Parts: sequence; C-alpha cells; structure tokens
Amino acid sequence: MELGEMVEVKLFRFDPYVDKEPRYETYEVPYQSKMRVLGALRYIADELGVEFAFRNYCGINRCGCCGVKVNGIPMMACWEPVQPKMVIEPLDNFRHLKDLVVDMDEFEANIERLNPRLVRKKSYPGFPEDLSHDDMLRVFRLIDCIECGLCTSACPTVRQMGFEVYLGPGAYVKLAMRALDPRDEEERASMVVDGGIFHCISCLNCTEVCPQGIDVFRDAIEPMKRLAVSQKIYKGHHTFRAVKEVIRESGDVNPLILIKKTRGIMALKDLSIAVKLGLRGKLTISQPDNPGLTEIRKTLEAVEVKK
Amino acid sequence: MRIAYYPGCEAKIVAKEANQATKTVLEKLGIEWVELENAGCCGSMELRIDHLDAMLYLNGRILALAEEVKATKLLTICNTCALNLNTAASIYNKDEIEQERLNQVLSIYGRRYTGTTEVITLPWLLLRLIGFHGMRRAVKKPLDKLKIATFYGCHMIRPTKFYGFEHSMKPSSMDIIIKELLDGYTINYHGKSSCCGFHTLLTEEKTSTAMVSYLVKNAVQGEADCIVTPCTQCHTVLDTYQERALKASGENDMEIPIIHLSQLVGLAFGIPKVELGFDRHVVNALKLLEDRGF
Repeated sequence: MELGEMVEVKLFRFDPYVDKEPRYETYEVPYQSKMRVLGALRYIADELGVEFAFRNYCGINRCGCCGVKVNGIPMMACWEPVQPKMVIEPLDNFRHLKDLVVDMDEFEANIERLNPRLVRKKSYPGFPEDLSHDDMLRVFRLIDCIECGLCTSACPTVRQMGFEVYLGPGAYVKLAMRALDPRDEEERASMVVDGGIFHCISCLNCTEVCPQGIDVFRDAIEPMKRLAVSQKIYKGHHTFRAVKEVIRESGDVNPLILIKKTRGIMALKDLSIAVKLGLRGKLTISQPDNPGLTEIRKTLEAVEVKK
Repeated sequence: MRIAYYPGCEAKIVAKEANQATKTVLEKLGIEWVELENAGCCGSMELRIDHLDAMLYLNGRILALAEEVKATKLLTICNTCALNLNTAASIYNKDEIEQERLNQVLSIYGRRYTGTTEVITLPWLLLRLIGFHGMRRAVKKPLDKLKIATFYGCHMIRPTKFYGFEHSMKPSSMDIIIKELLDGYTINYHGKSSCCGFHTLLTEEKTSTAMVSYLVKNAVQGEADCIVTPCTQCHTVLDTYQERALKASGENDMEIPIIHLSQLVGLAFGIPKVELGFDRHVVNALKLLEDRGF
C-alpha cells in the first residue's frame, strides 16, 4: 500500500450488556508508512473518536495481549501489517467479553492445570548450572512462548469439543517447556493424557499461527504425545505401536488388520462401517506383501539397533 | 520430465479408485511416470509418534527409490504421506551428516540417496508442472454444471516451510484448478482448510466425527453438490464415516458425495465414469453425476 490510500476496516462490535447480537461497523483509515493492524485500531479510537474495546500494551510482539482475527486468521495486531480490506474480529474459542476483548481466564486456568513449573526434588546445585546446548535443545524454542492464545484460538478440536475435552495447544507448549527440561523431576505423562492431548487431530494450525515462530506441533504436541505413548499411559497406545508391527508384517498398512490388532473384539462396533466398505469392494482382507518387504524389515531392524 | 508415483497404503488398499483415476489422468496428460511398487508405508502419524527415526528412514528409503528410477519429482496422492516424505526430505536433502546416516542404513541393501527428490502433490502437478495450456488441451467436458466445495486437508498446505506454494490458512490451488482450468464452479465455505479428523479416528472417534459433521454441514449449507479432496485419507473418513457423524450430530437426511480430485479431473478430460471408479463410493456419487449429465 502507499501513503494516502485508504484502509477499509470492518470492525466487530458487541457489548453483551447492550446488544442482542454482534454487528459490524466499517471505517476508513488513511494508510501511514509501516502501519500495523494496531495502528489502524488506534486511529479509529483516537482520531475517529470511536469508543470500542481492544487490548494492547507493548506494541512489539512480546506481551501477547493484542491477538485478534484479521480476515479469518488469528494474528498479533501490533505486529502484522495492515491489509487494504480488513475484517477485524475477536479470537475464536474464547468467550467474547466486549468488542475485540476476549476472556483469557479459561486459557490461563488451562495452563495452570498442567502445572508448568520446574519441579525439583533434590536441592538446587547452585548457579550456573551444568547445562549444555544439547540439554536445552528441545526446550529453548518453547521458552519464546508469550501466552497470546493464538494457537488455541485456531485449534479445530477446541472449537468442536471445548476445553473440557482438550486444553488446547497453548497449554501444552507451556507443559512441554517444563516436561522436556532435563532438570524437571515431575511425573508428567499422566498429566499429558488428562489434558486431552490425544484429541489433537494433527492439523498443524497451531504451528502456522504462532507469532513467535514456534513449531508448536513438532516441538510441543508431538513430544508430549510421544511421552505418553512411550510410558503406555494412554489407553490407545496400542494403536501407535501397532502401525510399526503391521509395517513389519506386510510393508503396507491395511486398516482392517490394524483395527483387528488394536481393538480385538471391540472392532465389532465398526461392523456397520465394514459392511459398507465391503459392499463397495473397499475391504481387503489380506493383500499381497509389499515387494520391498525385506528392505523395509531391514530398515526397521537397523533403526531398532540404533535405538 | 519423469515422475515417480507413490500412491500410499490408503490408495492401494482402501481408496483404490483414487489410485486408478490418478493413473488414468497421468496417462491422459502424457506424463512419463513410474510407480514405486516396492515403496512401503510412510508410517502415518502413528509411527511419527511411536518411533520418529523409523519414520524418517522409511521415508528416506522411498526418496531414494524415486531417485533410482531417475525421477526428480515424487508424486503422492495422500496428504500425510506428503507430510512425512517432506519431513524426511527437509532433513536428508539439506543435512549431509543426516544423509550419510541414512545412507548407512540404505547401504545394507545396496541403495543410496543423494538428496535430489522433490515431493509434490496432485494440485501442484496440475498447476505448476502441467499448467494452463497443458490442462486446457486435455479438457473435453467442462465442469460448469457442478457446484463444488473444495477441501484441501491439512498436510498438503501446512506447514508453510514445506510447501509455501499457497496460503496455509486460505488455500486456493484447487479452486484455481477447478475454476480456471476445468471451467467449474466452487463455493466459499467455512472449513475449506479445516481438518477431516482422520488421525484420531482409531483412538478418539468422537473428535473425528465432530470434524466430519462440521465440514459436511458447512458444505451443504453453502449449497455444494459435492466435496472434492486431493487426499485419500480425507476421502475415506468423509465418505465412510459421513452417515455416522451426521447422525451423532442430529442430522438425518443430509448427504453429500465426496470426490477425489483425480476423479474430477478425469471427468473433465472426458474419461468414462466406470474407469474412474465412481461406483466404489459409500455415499452415492453416480446419481449426482448422472443428474448433471456426466
């Protein structure tokens, strides 16, 4: 955009004490050099004299309180440049308090539930501690988390199932930051399962929206799932282990065999689905082994030895 | 241009129609392609969690197989395969030390990987490699009578660092293919870039079906005739679990056919319906197509 061009802002307005339902108001803001979304919001408040609620503080992508949804995508208002046409709305998955302000209490309570503190049972060895880069490799990116809640607001599981089922990726970033720390001595695996992490559908929205560039899925969610599966605390851990066995047996994964292996008699629950698939010729009871099976087995063996 | 084709387990064992349709389309486009028959499973999300190294080495092997048949591009029609292969490629194509580690394993059975394979998906192939003129030449039957809801699936567009080919939250490649190359009509609806829930299907089915019903309801409310997806896993869950998901959310007479992107492209190319395997869908797609004169 160039100086003097107009930015069209469609602003979400809602005051639960006055309004029955949300409405949108449109404003025009003259573009200024290096203008951010927050700049446009401030212009509407200060120059156009509109009274509306929005949060902001540091203005440099550090405090994590100005998260809003711009054209459907959650982002930090202070850090993202303005777009020629913007629909600015409050974050999803949180209770809307007023205009762009959402209730972060639940989000903070979720983090608290996972107790993201270093728990040390032995006495503190003194400073500086004997830690190498390798020790902190899995943790140091997660320390960047500013608890803005964007990842949780983009999570489809939270949207569909609510916080009762899944605490959301944000809470797990905080947990992973402690659970992966070599100094931590707390038993974290059962905590991981209780927060509902296995309801995560691996959509990677959290990774995409993080304003700090944390790979939330790879660095927090996956290691936490791995922890619970490796300690066999999650009830469905068989499914995760069975895939490797099925690959070792035939090279390819036949879902029918996978289900038979993991569910046993409970597989009958899916009989109606199996019948449907069978009628369409989609059910393969046994398929020929993959021609590369020997090599696949050798690969798995080699990795096992390394482990 | 020579392409290595890796269908993935889902297409080989369950969604065989996608495998068949993709091969037919590739033939029609006159691309030189080789199927990697001895490539096994990519390990899906489960092996990623259970044993990351095993997943990486298995995928490294598939990348090496593609290199061996002298293909620079590896085409897969499953989004999760694309994610896992890309995860492996992002390591082995750049990091020489990791590549050497992979080669130690591959050398057990006399293979080697030098880091040249690039993983692509079907929309990428159609848009970037075939392009406007190549596609327009092959189109015989424009799709102007169908209202289509495009569904991308997660692992074809996210994470950006692997693809970066389109916006990761607002994808557009399939809409461009359908609108510009096949003369079709796509609707705008919430859930286009959402998730089908496949990866919790075996462990937390309720979450999975909640995703299916959200998506299907939005597509039906947007007055779509069918949902088109490039991913075989998305197809399986949306097609097979659709009835159960809608019943669980209290919708009894809603139904929408789910079509593979390869099938749709095949239709536009004038390939007969039978050859594209439309009779193998759980939700009847033939009725819709016959109504619209295909």
